[in-house]
Amino acid sequence: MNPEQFILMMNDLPDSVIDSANSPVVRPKHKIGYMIPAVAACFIALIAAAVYPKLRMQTPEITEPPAAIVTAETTARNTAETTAVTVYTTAVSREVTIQTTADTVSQTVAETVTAAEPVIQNETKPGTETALQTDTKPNTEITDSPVTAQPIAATTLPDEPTNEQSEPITEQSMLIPVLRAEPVLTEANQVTQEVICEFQEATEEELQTWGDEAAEFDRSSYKLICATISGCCQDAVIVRGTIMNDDCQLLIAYLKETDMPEPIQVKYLLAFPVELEFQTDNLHASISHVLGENFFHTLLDDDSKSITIQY
Amino acid sequence: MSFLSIERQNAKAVIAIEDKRILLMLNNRDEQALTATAAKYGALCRSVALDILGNEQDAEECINDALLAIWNAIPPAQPENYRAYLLKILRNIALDRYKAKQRDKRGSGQYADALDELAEILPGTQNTEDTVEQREMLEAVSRFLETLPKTQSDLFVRRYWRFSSFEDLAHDYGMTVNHVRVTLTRLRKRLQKYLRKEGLL
Repeated sequence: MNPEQFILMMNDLPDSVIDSANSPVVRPKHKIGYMIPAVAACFIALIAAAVYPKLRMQTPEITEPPAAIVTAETTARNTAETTAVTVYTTAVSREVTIQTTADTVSQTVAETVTAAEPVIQNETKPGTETALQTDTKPNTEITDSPVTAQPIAATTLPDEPTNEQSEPITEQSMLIPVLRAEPVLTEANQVTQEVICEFQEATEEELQTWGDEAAEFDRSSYKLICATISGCCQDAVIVRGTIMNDDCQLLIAYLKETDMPEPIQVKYLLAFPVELEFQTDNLHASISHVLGENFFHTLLDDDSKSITIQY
Repeated sequence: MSFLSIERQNAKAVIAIEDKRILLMLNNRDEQALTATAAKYGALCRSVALDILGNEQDAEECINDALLAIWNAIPPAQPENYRAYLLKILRNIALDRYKAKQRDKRGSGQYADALDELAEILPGTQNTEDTVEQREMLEAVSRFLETLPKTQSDLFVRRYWRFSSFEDLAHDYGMTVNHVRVTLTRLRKRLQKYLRKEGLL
């Protein structure tokens, strides 16, 4: 059968078929019940399209604290009557356990630090004062320094941890000029695996390490002490200090070597006012391990060339 | 039952009554029957004729010829479905006129396009004179159309019985032209498969 015959044959189709095909077509009407959600969805899509780019460009007022930064500051006085803690919490992606034996750390501190997944390992002795604080704007004169009395979750800009200060406990502090020498690789047998800090009075030969900057110190006003930090780490920095019972405890933070441990040596020149009458025997180091490279570099980038000593 | 369906049923009833009245007038040889037919089905007849012939003047002449054929056929014919009967007569006249036009090489319409489309599934060129085979084919096509949803069945008949254009079908059925094309292509292939299964191809 060819197409022409087929078409002629179709003329004999049942009347019902032909009648149905030639009846007026009732075009489907969109019920309003279906229209409303569709229109609403369109409006939402339009609004979202208009608002979302603006929201994306908007800088959030509150951001997450810097990653992998938890700082626990404990201040113990005499018989642990006072405990001051500042905790910088953040979203920590790694689980690190805290190792602290400080008797002065209260249960509250322990709970808070555990909850915040801290990344600092305090290697302190019982009864000593441990402080790790980032003073981005150090005081230029002796001031009353407020110390927090309760754990506070700090809200900071990314990679810029701020010093949380609230509920002040009256303390006095002073600034000690510090000069830093870049770390140098040393022979492995010259240093131990652990990070240690040694203090000694700066010799003229050592002072050449810092050049003119060291020469500018008035030797009659300052006692220059060289702090040599050595061990297997990437870098180390003196964060702050505390004077207690005629001794000065310096908090030193180091960044652990992650890949190939190589011994390094970092030297700092500390200029203590002569009136403090410090000898090297009066200086002690509290060395803390810092996880979080960004945080460490924040400490390191502080170019104030001074540290805060609380007393 | 919705108001719309009741209204449609009433409309069908009115049409049925009117068709019966027209048939009665024809049987009584009342010329007003043709006037009533033209008034009621003139637009539809014009559309069908125009689809086939593609020419307004030819379509008008075709309608007049169809009305004359109706006048001559009734009585004695007593069709149950007056509209379908009228359209079949009109289509036959339009196709005859189209063939005559093709011989004279004037005018064109959807008919030629529909022939080309059907040639895809009916490649045979031989004329089948066997009325038995034609009747079997007609019954198979009727069964095939019954298996289709109403819209698809109507689309097929509108295209290959009435030769409506794709544009008109798209407008009438609320579809895009491309959708109509695709639907008809699929229907042709399904018909071909069906006829093969029936042993008619």
